[in-house]
Amino acid sequence: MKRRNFLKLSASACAALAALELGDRPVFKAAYAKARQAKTSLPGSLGAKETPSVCEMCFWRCPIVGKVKEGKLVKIEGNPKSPANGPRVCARGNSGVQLLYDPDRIKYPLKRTGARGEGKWARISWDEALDEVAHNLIKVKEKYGPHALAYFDHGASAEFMRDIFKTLGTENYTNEPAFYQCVGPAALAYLMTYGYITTGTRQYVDMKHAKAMLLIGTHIGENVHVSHVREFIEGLSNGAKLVVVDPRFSAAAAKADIYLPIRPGTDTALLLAWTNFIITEGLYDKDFVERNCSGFHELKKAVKDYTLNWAAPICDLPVTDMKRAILLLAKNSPNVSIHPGRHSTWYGRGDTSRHQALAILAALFGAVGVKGGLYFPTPVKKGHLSFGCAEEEPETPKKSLSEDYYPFASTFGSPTSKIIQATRTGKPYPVKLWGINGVNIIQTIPNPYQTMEAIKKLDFIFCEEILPTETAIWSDIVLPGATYLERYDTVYTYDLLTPYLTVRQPVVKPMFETKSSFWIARELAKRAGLKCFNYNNEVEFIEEELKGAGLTLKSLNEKGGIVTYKANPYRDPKKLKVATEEGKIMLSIEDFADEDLDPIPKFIPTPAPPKGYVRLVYGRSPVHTFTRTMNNKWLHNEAPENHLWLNDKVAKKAGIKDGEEVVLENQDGYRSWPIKVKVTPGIRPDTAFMPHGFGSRSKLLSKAYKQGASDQFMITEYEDDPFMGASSHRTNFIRIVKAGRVIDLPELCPPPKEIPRFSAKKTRTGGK
Amino acid sequence: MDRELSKIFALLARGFSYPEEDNSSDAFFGAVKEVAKALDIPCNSLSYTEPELREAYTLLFINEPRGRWAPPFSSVYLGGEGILMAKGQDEARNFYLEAGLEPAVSSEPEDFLPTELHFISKLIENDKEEILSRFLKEHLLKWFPRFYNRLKALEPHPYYLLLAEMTWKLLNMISQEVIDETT
Ligand code: SF4
Repeated sequence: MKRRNFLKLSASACAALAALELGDRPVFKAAYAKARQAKTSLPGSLGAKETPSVCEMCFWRCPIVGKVKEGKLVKIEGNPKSPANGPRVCARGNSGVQLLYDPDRIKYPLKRTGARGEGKWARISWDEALDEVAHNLIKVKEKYGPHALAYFDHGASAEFMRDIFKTLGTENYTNEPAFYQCVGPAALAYLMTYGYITTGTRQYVDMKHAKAMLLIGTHIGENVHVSHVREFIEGLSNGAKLVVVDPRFSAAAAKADIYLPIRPGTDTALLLAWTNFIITEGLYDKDFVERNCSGFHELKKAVKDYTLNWAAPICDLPVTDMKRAILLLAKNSPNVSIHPGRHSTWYGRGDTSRHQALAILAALFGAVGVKGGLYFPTPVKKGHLSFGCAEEEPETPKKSLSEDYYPFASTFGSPTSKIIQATRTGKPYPVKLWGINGVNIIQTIPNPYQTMEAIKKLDFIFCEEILPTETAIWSDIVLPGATYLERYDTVYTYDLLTPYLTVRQPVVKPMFETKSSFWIARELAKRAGLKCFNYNNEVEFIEEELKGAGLTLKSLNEKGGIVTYKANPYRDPKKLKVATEEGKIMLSIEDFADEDLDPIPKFIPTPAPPKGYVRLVYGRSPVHTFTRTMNNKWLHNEAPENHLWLNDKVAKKAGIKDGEEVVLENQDGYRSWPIKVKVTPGIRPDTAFMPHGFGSRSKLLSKAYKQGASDQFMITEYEDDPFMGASSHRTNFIRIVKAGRVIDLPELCPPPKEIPRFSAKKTRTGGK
Repeated sequence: MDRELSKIFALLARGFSYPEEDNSSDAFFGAVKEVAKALDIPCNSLSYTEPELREAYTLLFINEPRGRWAPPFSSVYLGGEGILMAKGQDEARNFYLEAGLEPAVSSEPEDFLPTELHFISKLIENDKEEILSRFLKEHLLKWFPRFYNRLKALEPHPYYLLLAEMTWKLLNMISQEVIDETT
């Protein structure tokens, strides 16, 4: 080039440039690859390098393959060798590409420079970020004692950092919102009845081979877990009959033979009336119960007053329909899937009992260990890992946040509501540091206003995050986590009807300065002076786990990244032995009685809506996983905002039209962001429904911010489950604000006298 | 002249990189100022501290609490999806490879603005006028104006506005010359 005359540089400019040292980092090197010739390159994902791995767009963990071309992920498909999902993934599984390449991602370690919640950061180095977190962990522990540290986590990769908190000696080393805001009550009920967690992350219910199924509030199809939905649909296509109990005409209800639009909060009344009915009518499996169950006589006595006639006004269901439904299930027993449910933190009191009642119903039908019923996991063998972190449980403080409040909490950690309370009030002891990993706590735990208030009281808060969520913007230090597509995790085994073993491995190298959870935890432990994590990297411990299964990473990958095993889900009812202390299915749970809790479920009504309000319930959008996927472009395009389902008769009387934009006001006077109304006969007049996860309050999420309304910000009133301290989410009520005017909603199905009405402490109005 | 021009693009590339010692020194600011003067862009004394620039940089180019930021990656502006590692990345990579170059290990995607500016510096240094002409016409000038407009609308920190103005002016000048010459 010769003619650069357009720019006249002075002598001093030339001198300044000549003198400049621009560091010595090489930006370019000689290329080995050749430029792609547009004509010769294969279209789409053809010719891509395929790496088997495991999806984490939700926590079902479907085996996948990532297809990579020139270092770029171009497509995700199901692993064709997977016996569970095969080549299929759901909409979210497909959209992992958009998470990986989302420009809004957290790219570097960040340090807060503005106020908490403002989201103003400066990029810092990993050294500085890790040193600061480690320094604060030690400082807070020394000043207030180990229990002042609390950790909120979700997902397998968050477990590495859990070990740090445990090793530091806090009893609050795990406060999984996934447990205390989701599966807790159901998991406990089944653990105590059957000796294993029939429902938690997974549901061991054989819908594929069922002759009839019962779903209570479970909306499979809107809640998408690929193999679970497939088994449900296979069951239906094989001719299974379906009973759906739900205040809302869900996707599953649309496929039901009998749909019971129950009054919310009365499911246990229905279940106990059914239990009594099948006992008195002799429709239960006497042999099975006699041989395998304990506590039948106590049960029989406890439920004798719960008749269908008693239940009818409470549940707001006709006796004939309730009877038809239970007869249909009885006729097909024992091959009936009494679905154990999953998300069960609904009303606080009575949540564990409701799932206990479901567990009992399955046992009375003998629908356990048989085709179509509940079944047993098939454990897949793998090597045991010893990270060298604290193996012992930390010493319990004088007053424990866990077992001193709720007798069955400690098995699962400390209830989130208690951590937040202790942080806010300093009682029974101060909590001064929070670590958060894999969960957006502000959009997950009831009463986000209290959560934010608690955060303001902390000495220090940090998180590992992929996206700048509400939780990230409240953190002092944000550690950029690699997505599931950029990291290894541990070996995953699937112990359901089609057992397999697979491993999550990176399909591309991490973007920006993001790091794997194991790397972060290990570095942090080192800096906090903890003896933890004996392995140098993930591959080392993965090899150890695989050794236990007679595999290596290489041999596993040669087999397509997955190996399958034969399932052992069923049992001979004559030789059934379950893992409870007695070896029997517990129809009456003495351990509950020992703690002054009901050993057999009772119906405890949850208060009905105050006049002018309807109950707010929520559920899943089929293309989203909570708030986690809201900023994902493809998924956002599919479902950009949520709608409020409102009963058509109620809407007509209140003068609200379909598609109209309104604001919701809850019983405590808190107002939502604008949301459009879906007017439909598919919901009861005393209930309103909205899909969960929308209405993000983080402006850094450019696609999700302010799209629809957040149900979580309407959930300010909650009650803890007395068994294990999970917090209720369906104990809130809304009315409508249209064009600034508050509209009381008409009451079209008033509660019977057995159900008290909710009385607000003091109903505030107007703009919160 | 080419040697200086190459250095100017390297200077801009470093200017758009995260502030560290070498690109927030007085010498660095001095050179920026001299080049601005040559480009007829008024600028007062440039004296910024590293922490000040770090915060400004994070807000403009990494994550910003009001969602008002200007991602410095071509893929965000090209191809319509607004995501990383899209069309812009493919285009940039192909140009690099065509010139026999490959970005050295870096934590950013390859269509990062500083990398693209550095690439121009290399093309000038190695006298690859024809590739430079196409790189500008078919790639950089397709997205840089959108980035620049987005940045301007944010009322950004004056230093980054200055760097963007300088880049824009220089790109216009050089493109007129090389594109005219090679077409
Ligand atoms: S159900 Fe969908 S999102 Fe969940 S793991 Fe499977 S493919 Fe991924």
